[in-house]
Amino acid sequence: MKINYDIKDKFDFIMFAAVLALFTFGLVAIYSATVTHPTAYGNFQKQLFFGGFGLVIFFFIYFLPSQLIRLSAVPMYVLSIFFLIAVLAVGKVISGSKSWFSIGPFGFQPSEFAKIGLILFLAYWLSDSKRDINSVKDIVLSLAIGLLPIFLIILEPDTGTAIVLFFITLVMIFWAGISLFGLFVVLSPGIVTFSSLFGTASLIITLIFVIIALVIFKRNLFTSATIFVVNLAASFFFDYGVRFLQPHQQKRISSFLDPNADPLGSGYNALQAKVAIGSGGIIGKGFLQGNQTQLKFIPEQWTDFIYCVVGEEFGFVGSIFILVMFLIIFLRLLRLTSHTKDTFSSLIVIGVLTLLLVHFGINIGMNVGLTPVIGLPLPFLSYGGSSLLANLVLMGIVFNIYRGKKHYQ
Amino acid sequence: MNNGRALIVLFGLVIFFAILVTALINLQVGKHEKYKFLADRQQNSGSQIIAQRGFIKDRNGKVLAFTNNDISFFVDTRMLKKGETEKIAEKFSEVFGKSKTYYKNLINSSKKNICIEKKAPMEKALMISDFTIDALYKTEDYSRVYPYGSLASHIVGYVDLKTNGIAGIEKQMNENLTGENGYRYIEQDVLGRMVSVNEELSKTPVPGNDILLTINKDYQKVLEDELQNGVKSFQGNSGVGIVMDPNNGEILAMASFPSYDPANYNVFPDTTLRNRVLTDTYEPGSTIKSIIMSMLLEENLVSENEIINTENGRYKIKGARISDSHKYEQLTVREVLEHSSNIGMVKLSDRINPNTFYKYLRDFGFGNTTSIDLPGETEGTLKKPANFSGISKAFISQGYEISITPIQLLAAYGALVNGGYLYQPFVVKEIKDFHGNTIEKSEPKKIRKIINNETSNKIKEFMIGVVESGTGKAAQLKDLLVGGKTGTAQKLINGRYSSRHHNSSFIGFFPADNPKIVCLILVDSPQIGRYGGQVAAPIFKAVAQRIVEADVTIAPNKIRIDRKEDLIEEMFADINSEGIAPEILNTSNIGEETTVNRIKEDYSNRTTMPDLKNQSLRSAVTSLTQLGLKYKVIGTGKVVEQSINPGDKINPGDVVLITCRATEKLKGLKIN
Repeated sequence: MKINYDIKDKFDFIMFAAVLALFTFGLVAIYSATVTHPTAYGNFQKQLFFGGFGLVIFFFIYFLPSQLIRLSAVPMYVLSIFFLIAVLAVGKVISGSKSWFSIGPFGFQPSEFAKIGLILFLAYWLSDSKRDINSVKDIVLSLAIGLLPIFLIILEPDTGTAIVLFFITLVMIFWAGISLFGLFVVLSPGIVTFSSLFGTASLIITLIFVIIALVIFKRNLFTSATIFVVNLAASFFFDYGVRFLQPHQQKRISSFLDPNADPLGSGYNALQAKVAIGSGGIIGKGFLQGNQTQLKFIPEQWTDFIYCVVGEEFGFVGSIFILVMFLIIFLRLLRLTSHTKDTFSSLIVIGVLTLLLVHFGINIGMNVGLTPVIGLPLPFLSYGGSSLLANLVLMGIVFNIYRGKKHYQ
Repeated sequence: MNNGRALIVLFGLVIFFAILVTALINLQVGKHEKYKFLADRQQNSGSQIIAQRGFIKDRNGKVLAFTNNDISFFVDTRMLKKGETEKIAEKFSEVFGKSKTYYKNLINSSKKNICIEKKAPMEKALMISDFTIDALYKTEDYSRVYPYGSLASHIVGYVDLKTNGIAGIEKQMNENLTGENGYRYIEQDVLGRMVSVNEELSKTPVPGNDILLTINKDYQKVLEDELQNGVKSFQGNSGVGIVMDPNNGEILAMASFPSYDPANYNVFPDTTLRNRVLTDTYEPGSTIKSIIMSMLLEENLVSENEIINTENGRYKIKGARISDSHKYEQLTVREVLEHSSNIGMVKLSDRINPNTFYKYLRDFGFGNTTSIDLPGETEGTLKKPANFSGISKAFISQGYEISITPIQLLAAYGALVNGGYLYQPFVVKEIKDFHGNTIEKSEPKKIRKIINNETSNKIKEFMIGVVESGTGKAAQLKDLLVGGKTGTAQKLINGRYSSRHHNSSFIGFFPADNPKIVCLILVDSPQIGRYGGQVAAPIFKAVAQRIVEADVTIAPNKIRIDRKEDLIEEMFADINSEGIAPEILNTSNIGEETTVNRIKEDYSNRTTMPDLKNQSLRSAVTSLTQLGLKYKVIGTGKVVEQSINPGDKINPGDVVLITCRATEKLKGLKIN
């Protein structure tokens, strides 16, 4: 093994440049969206401050000894569960969700903190050599680790973050080496439930596929029957679940299923976002020239709908640039997963990758009208201190892992 | 360790990006136009700025119709914030003087938009201009104002709620009056608030043009007043009056009674909205006789003093009975018109062949619209010679079997008295733009020459005779000579000529020597009185009198006309004011000697025999009656001999023998 002391092997400049590019582009878009806004005109400066602060933390974590990260996993998870419970008790209600602590002039979202806690603890737990990810007990336990914060976050309620944590849990279990059958057991109730949204016919078809899969897996009758009943129950109890959703979230689901049904209600944002991006054309309308943005047709555009500012003012070219930057980050992260010094690090990287990818996918998806409107910010671009700090902390951890990765040619 | 699973993730990643890129291409390239259109539509709002509608003025610039740019105020109660209702109520009650509770209740009564002050005048609206509340907004609200109310309503017309002309000049000149609407394209934010004005796409409105009418508002007032008085006092159903300048066709006044208020036209019955002058056809009766007479004169088929046997009021032609209401043994041609003898006219009209007869009527404009610049004109009916029955000509000569509109008759009379030119009547004198620049000026339009000047002069004399000694005496003015013709036509009701319903009309002109005005008065079905001379002539007289008094330019030299009826009064008057000798009328340029002599000679207080030679029989008889003499007449025509010589002393009760003979001129004529 030859040790290369090249600085490039200690620090991923390409990924860092992509992150900086996204952050900068985000600043430009936030400026454009808020410069004429009566209440949000200070957001550019705030974001700039958080960015600077976040970079300091990023480098602080980058230089931390690698062991510290492993050591922090359990306390971080415990702390985040504590915060999640606390916020339900004393949190501030903002736009219908109890998800904020006020600390002086700043707000703090425990759900952002919980992302870090979950990724670290799940990585710690799954990488423990005593675990057998294909044992039912360990599958259930690892699912439980994920579902505890998810449950607390749903109570806030913050569906978006809950979905993110759910995907993180699933992908990390998958990454930990779960068997195909195990994956099937974990995933099939979700798939059945989702298909039930589209009516009885699609539910029955999906259930038939489940039966076919069970036959193929050739497990004993009791196991197969149990799995089938669980599947059936999941779809039946989903109806009750939907009733637990907030009315605006129920509406969002139905407007996603039929976007034309209520164009001025919950579909309004989705339509306006499409209008903004679509009217941008190939090269866009130019910086500060996007009427859709400047005339404030999209509420709170600097947060979840920041991508339309880019789409409208910088057009197809700008939109693709953002996609390419994200693609670079994802590919660098994916590459890093196979170069980490241990499974724990690899699991963290895949967790971070999942987090960014789900945020990215749902956010871009709802901007271009592919997914329902679920309140998730676009990493590095959307305005929001907690989210930006959390992402930079995670990037700090990832870059710390990169610093300590294996170096063999 | 996880290369297989990494590949799965990579594969998923690639597919996912491919989907996103496809979605972006679809949105930003494929459907770009659609979304650009959607964006433009919601971001830009084009609002029309209605151009100010032009004014309608009379010939002297008096405004008959204008537009008020009022402001209406609305409150969108959904946008109201706390305490704003109170603020609005306070401000509005301060400006408009209504109570605060009134506004508060009004605002609270609505869930959406409510108009809290409709059509507020601009000066009041300006007092609220610096008062801004998001929920309060205003729109310009136009209302058409007719400052003289119903005056000239049938000419001016009216507009609908969107200020589109529906009748009259408002309709006829709608395009001119409307102007060009402007547009204001604004960029608006999501709440519809204006962000900026797009100068490129916006257009300032061009106000409509002003229409100057030929109408004289003062004449119009006189005409409407007198027509209304007349129709009411004779208990007519309706009435029509028109005043026109015969020398160019300018309509100076035009009235239909009953009338309506153009600002509230919708509450008036349809029958009042009609401009009867143009829309209603009627059988003219005797007023047509002047026209028939003029063609006979023009064709040299009659001579003024030719004697016509009027059969003592009863006559049959081709089985049809013709009668005169005033019976005469015989009349001169001139007297036929003066006394409106049906039998005389029937006999005379037999001399003209049907085609010529028809051609003249056509030339005078009957059977065709006059093309006056007002909407709704009808053409009436004039039979073609091919469709004439044996008695058609006879009946048309009395004003039956022909239906005309009042405006047609007036235009024809214009030609009768102006030397023979038919003018197209018109009411729009000038079109001016907003800045007062003339855009279009109407020129009098001569349509054709129908009769020559001599005929015109002759028929004028005849018609002066109608007023001075015939059926139109009620139209005489004290100090101005007028001419005219009466008309009384039985109305055709349910296919039969009614003996109780008449169209009573009088059409006259003045000053007689140089007519500046022709005026038609028509009263439908008067219950008191029947004859045009009884009903319409007094209305005409009142109109003429007031016009002459109001407008000195019509008859600058007023001359006292001495008439026999006046003489007794004059005598008494003279006792009180001796030495004031009334100026004696000199009408040599229009009247024939005999006519004037009759008027100016003072018979009642003379004791010597006047010279009756060359006077018409009727005239001579009148004189003798005045003198208190008994008389015997031999023959007809003009007086050729009298038993008491001129200048001899006479005593009341003396008997005079007068011998008359038809004039030499007539000998060449065929007499049927």
